[in-house]
Amino acid sequence: MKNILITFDSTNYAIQCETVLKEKGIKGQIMPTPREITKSCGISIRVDYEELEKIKDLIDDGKIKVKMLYSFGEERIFEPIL
Amino acid sequence: MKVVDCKGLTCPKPVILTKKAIEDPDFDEIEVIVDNEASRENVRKYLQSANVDFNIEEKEGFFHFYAKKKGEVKKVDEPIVCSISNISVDQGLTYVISSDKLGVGDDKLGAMLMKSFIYSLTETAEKPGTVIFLNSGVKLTTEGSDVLDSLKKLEELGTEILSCGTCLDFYGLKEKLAIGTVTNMYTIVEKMNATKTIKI
Repeated sequence: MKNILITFDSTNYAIQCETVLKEKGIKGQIMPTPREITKSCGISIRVDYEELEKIKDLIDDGKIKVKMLYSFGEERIFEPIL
Repeated sequence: MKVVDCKGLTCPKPVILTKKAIEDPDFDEIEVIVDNEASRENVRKYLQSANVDFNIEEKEGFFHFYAKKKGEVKKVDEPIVCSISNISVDQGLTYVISSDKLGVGDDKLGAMLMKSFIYSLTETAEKPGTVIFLNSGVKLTTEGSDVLDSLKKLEELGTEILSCGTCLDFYGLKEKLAIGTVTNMYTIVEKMNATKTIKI
């Protein structure tokens, strides 16, 4: 199953994003930012890959502030989405 | 495409059925459906060693394998082990979660840290044998909780999930328990005495 990992510059942006996703009915899973990406105690949100367009719209509309988007699947290889 | 439907079956059945379908001389493409984490791991391991192309999709709680022939199918004669690689459930380890927030401080941060913590439990190799939810911790095991998926996964892997009955009652959540079972203080004390306990 393909997923998107959303990372943030601050925990507050992660909290804000979680709220926005809930409002929009997009299922988001809070998870620690994988060690492959950062050593710090970061919070990320995982969403289904199918939600990519919706996430992009939210970013464009300034509703959520993200650091980076990655795609990843079962094998946990994180590829940045540009 | 042939479908091997293993819903409701536990290890080693799904692996045996998958093996039969793959080693069939007519095998070209199959779909295998399993409904639990352990079977997913074991079917995945088998397909890897059998030298076939496959991918896994999760749909409505079921795992769908799409396997395709890529060359000579390798006969796997090793016995099927019903376990998940590297994952162990330590029956001598208990976690007590006594709040729906992790740590003391801002509630929003605490709620988020708790979600992150419980998600991490699903991904680490060593699982606690028991997780006990107390006080506002029972908000995590009842309807509306954001961590039910993670807790379900843990339970499937063999962790016992217990919620304090008094606490469920106090918060009016008795009818809303969504995962695990109800327990009382005697059981909680006995568990804590008998195992290494970590209070979260």
